[in-house]
Amino acid sequence: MKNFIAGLIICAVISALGLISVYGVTLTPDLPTRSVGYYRITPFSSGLALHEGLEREYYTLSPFNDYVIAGGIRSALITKEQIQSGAYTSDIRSSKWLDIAKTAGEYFDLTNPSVSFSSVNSVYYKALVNGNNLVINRSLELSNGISPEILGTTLTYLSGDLVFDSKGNLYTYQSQNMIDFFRSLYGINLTFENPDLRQIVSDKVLYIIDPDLIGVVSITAGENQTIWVNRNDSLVEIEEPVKPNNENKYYSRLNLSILDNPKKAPGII
Amino acid sequence: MINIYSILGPLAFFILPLLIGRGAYLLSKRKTASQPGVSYFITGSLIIYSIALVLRYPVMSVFKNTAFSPLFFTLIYAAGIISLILNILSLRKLNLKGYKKYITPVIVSLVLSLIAYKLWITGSMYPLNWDLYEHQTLSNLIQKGTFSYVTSEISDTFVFNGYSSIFHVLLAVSQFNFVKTPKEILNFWIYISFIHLFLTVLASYLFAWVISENETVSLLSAVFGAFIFESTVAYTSLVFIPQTFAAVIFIFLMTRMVIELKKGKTVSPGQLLADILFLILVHYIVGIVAALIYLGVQIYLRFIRPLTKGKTESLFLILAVFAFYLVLAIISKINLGYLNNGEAAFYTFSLTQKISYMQNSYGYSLLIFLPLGFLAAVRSRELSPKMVLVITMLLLIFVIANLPYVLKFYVLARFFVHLLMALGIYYLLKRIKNGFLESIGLIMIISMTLVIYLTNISYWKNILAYRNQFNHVSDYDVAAGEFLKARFGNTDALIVSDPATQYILEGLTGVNSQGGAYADENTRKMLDSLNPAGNTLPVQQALYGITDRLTNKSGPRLFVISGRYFLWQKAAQRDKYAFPFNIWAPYDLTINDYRYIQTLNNLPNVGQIYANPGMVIYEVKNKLG
Repeated sequence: MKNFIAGLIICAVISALGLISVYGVTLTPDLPTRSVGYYRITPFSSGLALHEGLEREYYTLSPFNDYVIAGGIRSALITKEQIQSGAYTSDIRSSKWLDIAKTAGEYFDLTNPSVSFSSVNSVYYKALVNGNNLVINRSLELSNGISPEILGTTLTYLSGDLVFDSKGNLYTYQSQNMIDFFRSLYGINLTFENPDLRQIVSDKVLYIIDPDLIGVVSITAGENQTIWVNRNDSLVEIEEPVKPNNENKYYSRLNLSILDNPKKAPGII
Repeated sequence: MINIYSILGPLAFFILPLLIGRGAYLLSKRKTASQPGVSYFITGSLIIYSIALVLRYPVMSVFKNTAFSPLFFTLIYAAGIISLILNILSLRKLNLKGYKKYITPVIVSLVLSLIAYKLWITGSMYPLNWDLYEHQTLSNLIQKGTFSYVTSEISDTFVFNGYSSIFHVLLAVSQFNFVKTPKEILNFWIYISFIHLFLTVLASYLFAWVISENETVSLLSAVFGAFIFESTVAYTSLVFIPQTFAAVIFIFLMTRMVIELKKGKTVSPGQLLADILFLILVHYIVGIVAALIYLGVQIYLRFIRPLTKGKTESLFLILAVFAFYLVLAIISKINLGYLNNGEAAFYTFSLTQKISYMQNSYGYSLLIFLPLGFLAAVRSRELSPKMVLVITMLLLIFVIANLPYVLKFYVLARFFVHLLMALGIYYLLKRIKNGFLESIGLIMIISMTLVIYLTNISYWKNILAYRNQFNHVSDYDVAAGEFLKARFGNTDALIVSDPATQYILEGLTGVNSQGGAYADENTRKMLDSLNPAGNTLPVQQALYGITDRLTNKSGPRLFVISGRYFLWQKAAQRDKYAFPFNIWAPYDLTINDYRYIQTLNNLPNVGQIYANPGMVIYEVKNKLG
């Protein structure tokens, strides 16, 4: 018995030393990340980001931009004042042990990148990847005082991006030179007609291309979703009407795809 | 479908010299030491290399029209066939019973290697050895008949002669006629990298076995050998290059030496000379240090220890430990900046950086278990662990020194460090009298090492992300390589692109470039002048302003515009002229890249000959051509 207890203690010491050893590892800055076509989807301190590399441009889904419309007034899920005063928390990089486990899972494509934020409102984003397709599931718990009419999910885009729908309607300003070149490259006619800073997209599908990145981000609106392009804030806004419920919990789903090039876009004219 | 030669070729790298070496021993009727495999391999390799040198220097000096390639490879194949016959005929005399004790080490090493390699290549369908392209370039040229002892005389990709061309001759011999296309080359390197990993793990196991005579220690050493990857500069287990090859051979030599010494035997002077010569030829710096250790241990044990009757061992131990801690204490206070200028500055790391790299590879396990290993070695009654401790200390003194390139010595130090860590862990494990609990402890250590390995390779591969893979090359790079090989493989065309693209394509296709990833300042200046943001020189003038240092031939310029090329052109000036800066991961073409390509399409004498989503290739004729 004495030997067994002594052995148990030594075994525990060895295990503890092993765990301490593991704790010293270096982890990648983007964790966990999944590839989606040419891009990667990764949680960051501001939300989920679609990006091509760590030092390249990002397309972000963030509670700092996502909003709710209640009583005709639009407000961000986490407001500027809350950001500035640090009145919110996020679970990003909250535990190294969890991050180590995520690294192992990420290596075998077993993890789904997710991040949550907690303030007056709480929001949780989770990305599900299937090949080049990406579904962002968002769970929202609003504060009791809010009776939402419309929920808005946003995706940032970059100045210089081509944002257009499958009918060739261009929603961001581009030079004629670029429009002509795009047509010569892909056989797609783009027309920029509506100078309004915020426009509704008549189509159910919207495409975003950064001429300095590879790949096309494609957003497909759900049945009750409407896509807007907000040129003032460089945001694509996907709105859906909701009915307030007692728990004030709401779920949204955003369907994205990353295409190799616009020619691979189904139904594009 | 796997090309069978992609597997046979890597095996031939090791087996052909082994056969020729054993054949030489059979003909000379010489007796061999225990564990003769390494002796045969070294002897056979030196014979192969000697044939190359004799042909190149005396024979071709006299018979100037002799073509190196057909004569050399014919002789090697003939030697191989004769050796094979001799070996087959002598099979009856082979004492297989003597090899029974190696079954467990081989099986354990194979299992560990398979796990480690499978994890390494998960998400990476192409080999992850960046250096393979320069070594393949030399192999391609040797196969074509361009051979020299001096690597920089074969290709201008080599600007520094850190080793002889023996490694590349062995590569060329194992690839000749059977490994030709880019895909076959990449498959060859995948398989040879696995064999190298297996031999690294086996060397770790056997060395630990002969030193400790303990299976648990040997197993632990093999586990560390498989799952610790020094992901900066050293790269011992997963990257097959001259320095790592020299290190593995060195450990097999040390193992053999210890076995012989325990039997009261010594390695013959002739074999000793061959061993030292081989180590140095494979890698001058690592080989010399390895040879000094190998020779030093033999001299000490054969001549000094009998005189001192072992009384000086404790003194050596104390001196080594003292020297190590002294260097550790004062290293940051000594300014060796005058040694670390130019390129050397990029490969000089502070102690803080080295600790950070150590954490990548070991977590905190080195800091925890190595001191335990020191304790175990000091308290051991046997000489061998103490010897290992002294050698470890001396090597680590080099490694932590504030000098350029010293991390390379860790390729040698790692085997000793892992053995000491294994001894340290066993120092605790042996105190567990319950078999079940001891197994649990062992499993915990193995699991710990596996997790550290996973996080390490994940971190290392992160910058190579391309779509859902982690690679240095893409399918588009390989496809372009197939085109270039087929059309220009036997011409004097010159590939011009960013250093990484031309380096990769030259290695895969045998089509020349100026310097590959080590393009000289003039080439970088010419490329810089073609910046898509606004070129300062006409395309033709810039491309024909680039000339290969070694060849005066001016074939057509193949201007390769890849996604990498555009990223390189956007880099900071300082980076564009620095060897260590490269675009390591593949990148495809963007819309704005295609806008520049459109301008090139409109230029006279610039004809597009190939295009895929990853790159466009132009053949640019000289105005006068």
